[in-house]
Amino acid sequence: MNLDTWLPVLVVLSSLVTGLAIFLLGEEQNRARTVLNLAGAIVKLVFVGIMLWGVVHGHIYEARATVLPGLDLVLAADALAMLFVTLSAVLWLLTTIYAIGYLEGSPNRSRFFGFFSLCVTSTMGIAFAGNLLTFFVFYEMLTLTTYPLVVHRGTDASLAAGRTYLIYTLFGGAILLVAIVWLSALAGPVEFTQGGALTHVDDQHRGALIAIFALLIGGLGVKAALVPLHGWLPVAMVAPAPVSALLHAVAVVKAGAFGIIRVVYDLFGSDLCAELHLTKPLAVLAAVTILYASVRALYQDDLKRRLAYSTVSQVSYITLGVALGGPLASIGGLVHLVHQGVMKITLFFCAGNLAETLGLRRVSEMNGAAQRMPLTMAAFSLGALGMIGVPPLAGFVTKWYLGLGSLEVDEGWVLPVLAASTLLNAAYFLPILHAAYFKPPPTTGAKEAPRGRVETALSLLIPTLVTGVISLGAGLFAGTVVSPLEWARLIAEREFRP
Amino acid sequence: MSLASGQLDGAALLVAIILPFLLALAGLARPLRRMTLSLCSWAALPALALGMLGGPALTVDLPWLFLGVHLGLDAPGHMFLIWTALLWTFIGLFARFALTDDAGRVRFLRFYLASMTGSLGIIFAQDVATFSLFFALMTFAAYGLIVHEGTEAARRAGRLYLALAVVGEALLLEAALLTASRAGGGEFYSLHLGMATAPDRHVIVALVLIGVGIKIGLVPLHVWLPPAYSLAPNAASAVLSGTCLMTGLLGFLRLLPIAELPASRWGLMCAIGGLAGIFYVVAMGLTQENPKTLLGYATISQSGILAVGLGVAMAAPTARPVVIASLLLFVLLSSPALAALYMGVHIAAASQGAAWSRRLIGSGLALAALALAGASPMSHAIVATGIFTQTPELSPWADWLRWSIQFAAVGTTLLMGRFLILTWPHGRARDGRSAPPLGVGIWLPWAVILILMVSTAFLAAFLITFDRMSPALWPALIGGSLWPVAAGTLLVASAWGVARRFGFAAPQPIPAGDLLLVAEWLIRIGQRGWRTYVIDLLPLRPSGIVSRWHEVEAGPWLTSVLIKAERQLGRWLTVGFVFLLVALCLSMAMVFP
Repeated sequence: MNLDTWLPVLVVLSSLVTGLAIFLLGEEQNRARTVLNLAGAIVKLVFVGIMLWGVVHGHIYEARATVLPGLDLVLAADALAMLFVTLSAVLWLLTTIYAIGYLEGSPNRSRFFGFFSLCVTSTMGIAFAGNLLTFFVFYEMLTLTTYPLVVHRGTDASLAAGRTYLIYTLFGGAILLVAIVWLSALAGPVEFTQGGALTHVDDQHRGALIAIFALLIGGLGVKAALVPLHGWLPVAMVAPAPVSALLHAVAVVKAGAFGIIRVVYDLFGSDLCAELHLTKPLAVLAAVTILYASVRALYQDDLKRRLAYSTVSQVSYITLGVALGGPLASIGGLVHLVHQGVMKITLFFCAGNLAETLGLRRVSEMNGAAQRMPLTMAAFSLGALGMIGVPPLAGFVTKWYLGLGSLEVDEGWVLPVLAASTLLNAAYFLPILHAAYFKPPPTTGAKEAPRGRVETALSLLIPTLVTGVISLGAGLFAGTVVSPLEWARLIAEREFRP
Repeated sequence: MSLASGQLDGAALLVAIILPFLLALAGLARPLRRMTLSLCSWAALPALALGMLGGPALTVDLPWLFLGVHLGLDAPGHMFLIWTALLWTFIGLFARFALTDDAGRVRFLRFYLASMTGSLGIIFAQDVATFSLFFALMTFAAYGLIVHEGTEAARRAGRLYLALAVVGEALLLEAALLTASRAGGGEFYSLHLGMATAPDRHVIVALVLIGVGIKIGLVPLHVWLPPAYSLAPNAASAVLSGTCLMTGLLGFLRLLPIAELPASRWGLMCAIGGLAGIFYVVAMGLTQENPKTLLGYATISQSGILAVGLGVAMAAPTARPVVIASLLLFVLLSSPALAALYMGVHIAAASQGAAWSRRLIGSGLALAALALAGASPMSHAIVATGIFTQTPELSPWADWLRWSIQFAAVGTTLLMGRFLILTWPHGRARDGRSAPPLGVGIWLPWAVILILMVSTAFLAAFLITFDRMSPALWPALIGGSLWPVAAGTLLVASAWGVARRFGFAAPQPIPAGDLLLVAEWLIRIGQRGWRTYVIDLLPLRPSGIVSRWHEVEAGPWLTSVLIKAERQLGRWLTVGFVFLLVALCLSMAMVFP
């Protein structure tokens, strides 16, 4: 029992313990709660930092517990897991700071932050899950721990949204369970292995494998918001801004996309997927999602709803990259896991800032917003231009690798999809920027919260600016060794090693 | 030693490119605003110095930046850099003083500086991704310049510009991806070789033609240009039109492997399209009454000449060196001419002083107009007479090119004649508006750009040509470059005389953006058809599907069960502790197996 075994468990525990301790705190013990929250997030970051170093240098981190014979719970860290874990750990810290400022003075904060931590715990578990069973356990935990966050406000609208959310995700979970049981019956206990874990399955079970793949993608596709399973996401945007940020950038949607990556790379393996002709339909489904959701986003006046449809579209870039196969497309898909997270969390932070400070919730109310909140709108611009794919922002790097990758595997039809998505993204983001920068602000403004020296509370502004700068830096410094791109290259290199 | 000087070069290059952008950012901070304002016109000076002093082998690789940034300066790059930097410097000076009373001056200058970095960076970029980076910066920053006035019309023009520009960006990205993928790398020198043999090079050529064509306003992609340039402030129109030809030529040279590409049908299409475009926009431009709109059409006609040259180069491999050389000369001459014309509109409107000063301004305008009209035949004649006579196997293209360019130049001369009639400073305030004062900060930059233009012409004519050609060829050269301008002038003069004598009903001006009207009409018809024949006949509306799905999931039975379950779940104490218990057991089991 050495530190290498402990570390993944410690990362998971760091937020679990935080969450549990917060539940035990009284509602008015704000200072203690803040200290706990930040301490948990920072301790986790330290652990994650150590593990990042270790994974680069070939350490193997694995913790295993046998529940029943042949039924193990495994937490293991490979390069792919670390990509997701690092993203979650960094964004968790920032979202916590943001949420502390956002919820200042509102009721039920212990409940909120308790579940908030548990939600991150589940995400960490999903990332480290070494086999399907562990993955499933944490995946369902995620569903249950996010529900109280979605309905946090307790209004009719949020309860309805929570209901929709539960129906979709529990349904998805059930399908996932069926697939897992079937696969276990067929192939025995399988663990995620680089290059695929199902090579030993007999050829006569091809049909079954295809069906299992479809079920797995169907189950995961609910959280990954693949069309037509995406309906819950735009509804769930009634949640408070930090929750939306978490849902869209770190936890739920990403868990689905991450699951798809695991299934394609480490369960079936890209070779087997290609052999069973599974990747092409998945890629087409992702392309359809990208375009359909972008078109829907055009028609939303509610800012957060527009952002929600944009998430549906952008997360499918990850699926697209993974489904296309080949090193370059995979790099594009994997790196978008981080890029989309950082850009979208920026946009949701900004939407929260605008709503809290100026009372702006609709795109049609955004005239002159840049004059009233220049820093927030600067961050918003970085996120929005990045989503469109304007160089040198993070989104361009994704598109570049997806485009090159699609040509590498002779799937040229992806290029027009990327171009159309660029145009649609421009069509729903640029009018917002135009209104904010070039139109005069309304003379009779909506109710504005009192402000200090800066445009809004520092706890809201600083995380927004940090994520905005990261979405610029991830693209501008993509060539450095510490960039997400470099890490995605490392994963692809290990996955496609000849 | 060599390492140190290499690093020094790298630093100098980077500073030259990003200094304007950094100034634009500094302008966001209130305390630094005054400094930005006073430094903005000098931001291009490091680039200018680099263009004049930098060695021929100036390259910098920055693998850690973006997707690996490769910067460098080749022979045409040197020329473009000097001209571009001069234009940005002096138009910047002009902008500072011309916008003195404008409340949004700082914002304008910020966008000006950002565009400047884009425009300079394009010249240095030596790989596809870096090129796209600076191209995009210029595209988006130019939007801020175009919509500066903030009127509804300006916003409409800006929207149109941005819509087309984003389409152009998307197409260029596709072209860049295709080339980079086929060539196995994004650097221009490897790219050209790889692309010349790529099976889908036709797609790439089409994408680049449309993508860059939108930027420089090739007919029929030009519809954004006349409204945008006529509604932007004069300084913006001057700098955008002054740099757009250079950017366009550079874009074509960098993204299309003209030297390596086998002869293709694209060439003929491009040349004929360009030529037809020139005559079309001359006709459109002649009906205009706003001199700035007319200049927009003149800009498009110059882009047309670029297209003709490019087409010939693509179609006739033997003529390539000649044509490209003549296009370089042409661009270097027309760019300052266009800038001077736009600045001249402002100056002519402002001149209410003595008759001699008005006459001086009028001559300046006439000089610029003459240069613009003569640029194309002159640059072509210089190179053509110089080289074709030395290479006896004249390609069949040479004559065709010469004649088409000369006839196009007649058209441009007509446009310029009409422009002079419209703008000639009579000392009366136009539109009843009070004219802005005509300070030294306004006329001096104009004079400098006029000098740049004239010296370019002399440089081309004397240093390059007369120095190297036998005197026997001089008459052909002079005749070839002068007759179109002379014929055009004669036509304008006689038309003007007739109109003065007998009166003349000016035709109704065609709205700026001409083809746009047709496009809008088609779109209206299309929308009506789509509604009548598609949407109304669908059994289920798209929104209908969604609402039915919601009905299913919120059925009455399901609802009541769910509401109960939800209330239970809503008690966080229950959930929290159940979850806690399970999670703790699991993690304990994992740590102590």
